[in-house]
Amino acid sequence: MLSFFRTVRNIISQIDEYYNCIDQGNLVFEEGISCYITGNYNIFSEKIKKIEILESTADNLRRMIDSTLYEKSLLPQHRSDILRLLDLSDNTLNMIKAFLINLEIEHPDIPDDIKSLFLELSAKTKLCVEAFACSARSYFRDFNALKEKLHRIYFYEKECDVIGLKIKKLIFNTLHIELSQKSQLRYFVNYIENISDSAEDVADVLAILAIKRDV
Amino acid sequence: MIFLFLTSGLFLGWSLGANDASNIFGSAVGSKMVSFIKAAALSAAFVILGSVAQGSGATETLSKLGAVDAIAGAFTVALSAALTVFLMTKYALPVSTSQAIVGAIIGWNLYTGNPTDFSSLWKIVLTWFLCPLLSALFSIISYLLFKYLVKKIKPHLLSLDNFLRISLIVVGSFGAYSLGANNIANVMGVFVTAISLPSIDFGIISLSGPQQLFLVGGIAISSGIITYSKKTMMTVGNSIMELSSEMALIVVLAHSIVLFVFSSSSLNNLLTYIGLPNIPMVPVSSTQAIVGAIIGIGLLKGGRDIKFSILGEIVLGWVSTPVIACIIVLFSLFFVNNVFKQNVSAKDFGKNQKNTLNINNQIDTFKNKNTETENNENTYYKAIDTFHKNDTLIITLIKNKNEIDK
Repeated sequence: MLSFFRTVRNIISQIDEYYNCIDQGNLVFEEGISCYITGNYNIFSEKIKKIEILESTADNLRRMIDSTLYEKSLLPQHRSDILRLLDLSDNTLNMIKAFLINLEIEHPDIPDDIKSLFLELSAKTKLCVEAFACSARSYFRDFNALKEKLHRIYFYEKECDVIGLKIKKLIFNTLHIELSQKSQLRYFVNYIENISDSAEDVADVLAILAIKRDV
Repeated sequence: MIFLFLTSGLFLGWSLGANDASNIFGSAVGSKMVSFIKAAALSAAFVILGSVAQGSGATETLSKLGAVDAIAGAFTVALSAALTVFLMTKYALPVSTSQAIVGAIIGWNLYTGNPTDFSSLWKIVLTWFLCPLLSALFSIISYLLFKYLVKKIKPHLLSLDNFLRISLIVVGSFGAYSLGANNIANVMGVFVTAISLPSIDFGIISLSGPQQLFLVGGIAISSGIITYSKKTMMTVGNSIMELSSEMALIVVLAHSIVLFVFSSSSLNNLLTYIGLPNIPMVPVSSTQAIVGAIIGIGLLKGGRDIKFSILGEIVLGWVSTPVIACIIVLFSLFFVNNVFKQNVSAKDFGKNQKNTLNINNQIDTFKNKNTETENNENTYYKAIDTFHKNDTLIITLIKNKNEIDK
C-alpha cells in the first residue's frame, strides 16, 4: 500500500517536471529567436543545445509516465485522454526544437523591416504555449479553473495568425528581395504559426476533457 | 438430515451472492480500479461478518410475517423463492430475492392456515417503496457533498484516483457487510423458526442457533460471490446510466447505507433512545437500492440519460414476484406434503405418522428417582403439555406433589 502511495507521488512529480520542461522550452524558444535576430549566434547555439536536452528529458518523462500509468493501472477512465494530452504537449516541444534547429541550419536572412514583427510573433507564440501549459497543469490540479484558462490559448493563437499574415503580406508586397528568400521567410513564419496551432489543438482536447471530468 | 433441508436456502444464498455482488464491486472491478480477487475476498469475508453480526433484525420481521415452524416447510418455501428468482432471471424479468421470499412465506401461511400478520406485511411493502427513494436521497446528498469537497480541496487528479480506489474498497466492504446483514434473512430466515440448534461457545465468542444458520447462509452467499460473480462484475451493464468512478462510489455508498439502515438493530436502539420512531428492519432489494441511487444522481444531472423504462419494470416486479412465488409455493407445499408425506407445518405433526404416542392422558406422573426431599421422599412431576418437534418429544412437567397425591 505504501509503495502505491509512493508511486502516485512519483508520477505527480514526473507530470509537473514534464510541464516544467515544456515551459522552459517555450522560454528558450523566445530567447533563441531574439538571439538569432540580434545576431548573438554563440548564445543561439547554446539555446539549441538547451532545447535538445529539454526535449530529450521531456520524452523520457513522457515514456515513464505512460508505462507507470499502464503498469499500476492508474486512472483507468482518464488514462487514454491523459496520454493523448501528453503526446500533443510533446508535439509542441518537438516543433519548437525543430524550428530552432532549422533556423540554425538554413540561417535565413531576416530583413530589418520585419525583425520587430518576428519578435512580436515569437512573443505571442510564447504566451500561447505558456497558456496551454498552464491549462494542462490545471486539468490535473485545479480542474474548475481550467475552463477559464482555455480562452487565453484561443486569443493568443488568433493574435499569432494576425501577426503572421501581416509579416507575409510585408514579405511579398513590400520587400524587394529574391523570391527564394521570400519563400524561405514565409516557411519560417508558417512554422511559428504551426507552434501556436498545436497549442490550440491541445486546448481543444482540454475542452473535451473538462466536460468528461465533470462528475 | 437437517443439511439436506438446508440446501434450498443454500442455493438461494449462492444465487444471491452470484448476482448481488456486482451491485457492490461491479463498477470498481469493471473499470479496473479494484481487482476481482480483492473484491471477491473482501465481499466474502464481510458478507459472512454482516450475516452473523446483524442478521437477526431483518429475520425477526420476516418471522413475524410467517413463522415457518417445520423444516420441510422451510425447505419448500426457500426452494420456491429460489425457483421464482431462477425463472424470472431466465426470462430477463426484474426480480428481487426479498420479494420472492415474502411471497413464498405468505403462500405458506395460506396453505397451512396460519394468519398473516398484516402490520408486518405493510411494513415490508412500505420498505419496497422506501428503499429506492431513500437510496436516491442518500446518493443526491453524497454527490453534492463530494462535489463541494472536490471544489474546495482541489486534489490532484492522481490523488483523487488514489482516494477513489481506497474508498471503493472501504465502501464496498461496508456494502458487503450490509448485504449480509440485510439479505441473510432471505436465505436463512425461514429456517430460524423451524430449526432449533444449541449455542456453541468458542470461549471468546459464542454463536447462538440462529447465528449458526446465518453463518452457513453467509458462507453460501460468499461461495456464490467467489464462484460465479466474476462474469456479472466484469460485464456490469451501465444499463441505466454511464457511471464514472466517482459516481460509482457514491452509488455504492448510498446502497450500503440503505441496506444498513434497514438491518441495524444498534441504529434502531439509538433511535429509540433519542425518542425517534423505529426503522423497520426488513430485507430489501440490493438491486433496487442501486437503481434508486443511480436515478437520484441522474435526476440531479438533468435526467437526460436515464432509461426510465427500468422504473416501470421494477414496479412490475413488486407485483409479479411475490404472486409468482406464492403460486409456486402453494403447489410445492401440496406436493411435499402429500407426495413426500413431509410435515410442512407443526400442526401436521401426528397426521402423517402411523404410530403416534399420545401421552397427555396416559402418563400423568413421572417418578424422579434421582431427587429426594428432606423427608427422603421421591419427587413427582406431572405432564401438562407435550410437543413434537424434529423427531424429539418435549414434555413440559411441573412439580406438583399435592396434585399428584390427590
